[in-house]
Amino acid sequence: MLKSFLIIFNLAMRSVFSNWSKNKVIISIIIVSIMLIQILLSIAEGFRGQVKTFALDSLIGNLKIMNPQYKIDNSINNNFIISEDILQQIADMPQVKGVTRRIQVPAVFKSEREIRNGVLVGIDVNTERNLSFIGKSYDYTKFASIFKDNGILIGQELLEKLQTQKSFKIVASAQDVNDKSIESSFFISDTYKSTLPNVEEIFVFTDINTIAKIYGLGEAITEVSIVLYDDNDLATVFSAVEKIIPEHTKLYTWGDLNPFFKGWLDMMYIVLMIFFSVVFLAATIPLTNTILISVLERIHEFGIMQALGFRKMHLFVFIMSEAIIILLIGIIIGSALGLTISGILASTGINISAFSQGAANIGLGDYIYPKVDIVLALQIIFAMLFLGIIASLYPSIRAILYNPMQALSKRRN
Amino acid sequence: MSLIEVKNVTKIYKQGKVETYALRGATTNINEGDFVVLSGPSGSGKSTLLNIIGTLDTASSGEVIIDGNNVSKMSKSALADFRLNNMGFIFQSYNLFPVLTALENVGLALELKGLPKKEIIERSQLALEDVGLKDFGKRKPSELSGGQQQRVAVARALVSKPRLILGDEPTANLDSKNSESLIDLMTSMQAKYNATVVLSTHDSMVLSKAKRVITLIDGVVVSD
Repeated sequence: MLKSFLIIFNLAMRSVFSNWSKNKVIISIIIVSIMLIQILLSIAEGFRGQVKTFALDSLIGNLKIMNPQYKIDNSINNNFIISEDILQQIADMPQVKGVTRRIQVPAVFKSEREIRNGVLVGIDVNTERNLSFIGKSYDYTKFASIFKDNGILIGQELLEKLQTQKSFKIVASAQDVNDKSIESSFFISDTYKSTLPNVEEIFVFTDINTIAKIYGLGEAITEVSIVLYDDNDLATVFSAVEKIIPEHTKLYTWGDLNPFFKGWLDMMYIVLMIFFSVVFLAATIPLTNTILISVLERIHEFGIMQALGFRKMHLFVFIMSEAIIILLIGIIIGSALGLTISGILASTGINISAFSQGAANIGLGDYIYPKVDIVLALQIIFAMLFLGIIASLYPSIRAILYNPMQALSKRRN
Repeated sequence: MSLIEVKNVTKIYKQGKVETYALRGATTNINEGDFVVLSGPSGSGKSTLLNIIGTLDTASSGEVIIDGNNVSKMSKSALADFRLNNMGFIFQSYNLFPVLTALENVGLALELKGLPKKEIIERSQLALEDVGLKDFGKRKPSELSGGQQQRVAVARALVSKPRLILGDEPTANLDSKNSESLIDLMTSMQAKYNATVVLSTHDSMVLSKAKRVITLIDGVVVSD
């Protein structure tokens, strides 16, 4: 049985290449379709990835430990103390890229000319590296030196809004742990730039120990941010960390803290799935039609095959094999082209500067960088193959319904 | 000894409510090694009878027994296997696969039988030599004349050494010279392979060369 199917498959393979002039049209359609789908998918994934990175990098991380009251009222009264031992346990988890402590203090910044609201953020200069937008975009080796003597790192936008400049001083007004208003003078050591204008306008950075001292926090902090290598491990890490966090603290996912982006990304995922489902279904109908036409054109040929001794099951396997071979050729070439083009676009980026003003609000800069996700690419390949097989079933069944005489009486094309 | 027994075979084609009788109780026997021609005017039922003997079509009633097997009662798969192992067909319009070479066309049934590739090529080449097309194996049907294509069809019918060779108007698309040559070839091949040959035709040249002629008129065997 298997041997006869292998023989039929071999015949089908030869038939595909012998009928190349006809089959190349179907194969070309499949190549173009799958190539476009792979490119679109990688652009969509890159888009989602950038938005998600923005959501995670905005001083949130994948997970955050906070005093639950701080989520309602971000006053530094709602602080907590966490031991080095717990932080180390979290950092040692294989899925965890890094853990860092922060203190965020809502503050009013005053220059000689202007006043602006913002957030004074105390960061741990040793652990902030690569864990947030500031740790990634600013040279972390400079943190220790620029934060010396009440030095701060200020966003370029805020600097301009305050109409001041580097090496000048600004005053930050905020309440300490005793609700006493404190005015502290800070020295603008340097500025940072971000593709995200809102961020530049709000966050001002300095050393966590400086903030703790000024506002009387001692060992207390307002948050611990945990960044993972892969957000798919979120649930695993969440359940592990939840067991060891201090009393009176709560563990939040980035979705809990940034529901707008979470909802936006979830909605985008659903829209994408609907889009690809429609594309696949739309592709299945013409594919069935094309295969059906190709099969009906060859009914006479199938009659000869039956006369020669081919069983109906042989014919079915023959036609299905032809369809699968054609699909595989189209899908492999189309995917290879699509993924190569996506790979090139991923390194060069796609310039969307014409729309970047609006795009910045959802975490995009001037460029979208497509992202090739091999698992998703394989899912597309298997989905296309599956739909192709479904599309080939009806024509194959139609072909074997003819008895040899009926098939032979059909006009040859 | 009878290789084929046709017993009271009737074939009715239905189109809507209209019934057309192609065969009306046709009965005949064909012995092993016979070279038989089914003759008759158009619409007499000769091709229908040939197709029923060849198991390409089924009788509405009656029986066809080939080598002791009642083919009227066989399943479709069993009939396909029966054709593969016992029959060779030659059609009026050659019916070669245009995308395959002559050698590949000849060897197709052997491939389905699962013979080793080397044996398939050797036997196909020999069959082509038998029909005088030794050097034409690599040509596609479109590169061959009508007469040559029909010879390839003969080689295809012979290559698996079937007991029964059936030809439906095999000379209808050939000129008189090629027709005569084809029938001479089939006669000699029948002798060489010891096959039973049944042809349907109204070609007088073919009729003149036949050892036995069965004549049908209006679906009834009128002379033998």
